[in-house]
Amino acid sequence: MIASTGKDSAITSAYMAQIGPSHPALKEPVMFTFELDGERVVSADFAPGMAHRGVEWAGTRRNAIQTLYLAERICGICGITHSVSYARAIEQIAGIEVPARAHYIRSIVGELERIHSHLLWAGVAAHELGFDSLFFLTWKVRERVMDVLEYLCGNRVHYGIMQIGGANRDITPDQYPTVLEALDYFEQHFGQLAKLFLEDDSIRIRCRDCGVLTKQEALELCAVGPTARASGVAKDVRQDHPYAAYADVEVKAITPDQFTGEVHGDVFDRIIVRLYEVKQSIDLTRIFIENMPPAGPILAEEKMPKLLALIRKAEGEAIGRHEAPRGEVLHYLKLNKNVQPEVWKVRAPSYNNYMPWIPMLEGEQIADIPIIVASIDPCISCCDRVAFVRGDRKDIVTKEDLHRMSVAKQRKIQHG
Amino acid sequence: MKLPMIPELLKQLKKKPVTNAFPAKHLPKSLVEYLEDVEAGRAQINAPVPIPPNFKGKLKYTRATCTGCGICVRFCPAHALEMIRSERKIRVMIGQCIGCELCTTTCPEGSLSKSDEFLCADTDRYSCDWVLK
Repeated sequence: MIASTGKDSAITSAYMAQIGPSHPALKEPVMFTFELDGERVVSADFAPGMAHRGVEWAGTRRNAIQTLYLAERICGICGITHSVSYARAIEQIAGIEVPARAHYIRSIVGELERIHSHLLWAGVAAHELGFDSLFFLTWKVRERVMDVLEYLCGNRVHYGIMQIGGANRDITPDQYPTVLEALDYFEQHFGQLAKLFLEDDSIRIRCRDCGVLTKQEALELCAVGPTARASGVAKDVRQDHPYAAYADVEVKAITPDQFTGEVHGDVFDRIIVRLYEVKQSIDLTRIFIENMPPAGPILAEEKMPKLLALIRKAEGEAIGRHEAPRGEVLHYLKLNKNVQPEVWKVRAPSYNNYMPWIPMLEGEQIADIPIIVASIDPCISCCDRVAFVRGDRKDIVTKEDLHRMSVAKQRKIQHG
Repeated sequence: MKLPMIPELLKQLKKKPVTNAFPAKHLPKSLVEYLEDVEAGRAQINAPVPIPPNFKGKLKYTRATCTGCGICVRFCPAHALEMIRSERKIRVMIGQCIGCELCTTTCPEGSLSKSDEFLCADTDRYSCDWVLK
């Protein structure tokens, strides 16, 4: 797709290039439109909304316990994140008290999931840089996390261990040695991976001062998670609003200046933040396992029909938050004396991290597009909400339509 | 230029691959023939990675103890369980099962349990392996 810019195009002929919605370099469907001047990106734009699945609609048409498992399937990587934030919202409305041991189980599995997600991202980043041997080495370590999660939960992905009011499965003392052994293995390989990622000159040359997001831009565009932390914004739900077992330990948001003394806000800083978060998660998991409360109940209400009856009596609205590997996840939920949720709205972290793409991409080279796009760890299918497909027709919703829908939804929430 | 990956790669040369080749070490000419050979005892299957205890495998349904209370049908998130009203028993569609373990924990009679079986692939979604009655 080539378009001339006008009369003066003899000297600077900017042209437009489209990447996506489906492209081998992109793992998930999103469409980019770039205005290019030679190899340089002049301006960038993107259009998400290619993978809408209507999860929220489906969630309000089944009972609240079934929706928990649907929430887990919003994302293939952060399953725990979505199910915990959904469960936390329901627990707040229905006044369900989670047992102490279940809080620890939630935190342990959540931290293991963070290790898994960050290692997966590190592998993808290495692949995007064309460094496939490092990609395989990273994923070799990740495989062990998957094994541990399978050992604890019974499933490699979509663990199904969370439940409203606690957890479905206990982590028994005879399982501790396997987990601790795996943590030793990660620690041992963490040193090696940190050395390969942070000391290798080829990675440093590619990523230093590439895709810069300043602290001001990060704050203005509401970036969350490692993307914001790499720009020097020290925010982390585990630190700011501790939930589950995080109130018992001290979690400090990781920013690159703790390790290098300065904040660049570039791709390399995002690598540093994610790698050291793996280290932080290893330490946290070890602390949680050592301080597990004595054996006791792990569910507030063990009988599912009774739990559903409890939800049926509940009325009100709440927000459940959780620090996902990619940032803060937010589940808004409204219950209205019914088995199914009245309103369910999910805000996935990638949604906030989309907008920083534009300042990051402007002024960069075409060859750096894949790593910059991958550097926020986008999870596009997590947050697609606005495209409608009916038969062959695809409606793109305009700003006016969106405003009208937004007003209608607000009224629905307010008046029930 | 500092490239710490090169000594790492040289070390890797001596190590065995992490991947476990299942069911055969090398791709046979025909997988169907190979599996027939395994059944006849002419070939040895390469063992899969051992599964962990409490693995959420294929569901097992014990029809005799099922009272048809329908709790599992009410809670199954994937609508994989169906009530047969005339017989007061259930039907399990394995193809729809998401392995969440909710039915096995809610069943008051313990009629549903999980097995260690993980090879559930089939070409017919209504085959007898996939629909438990």
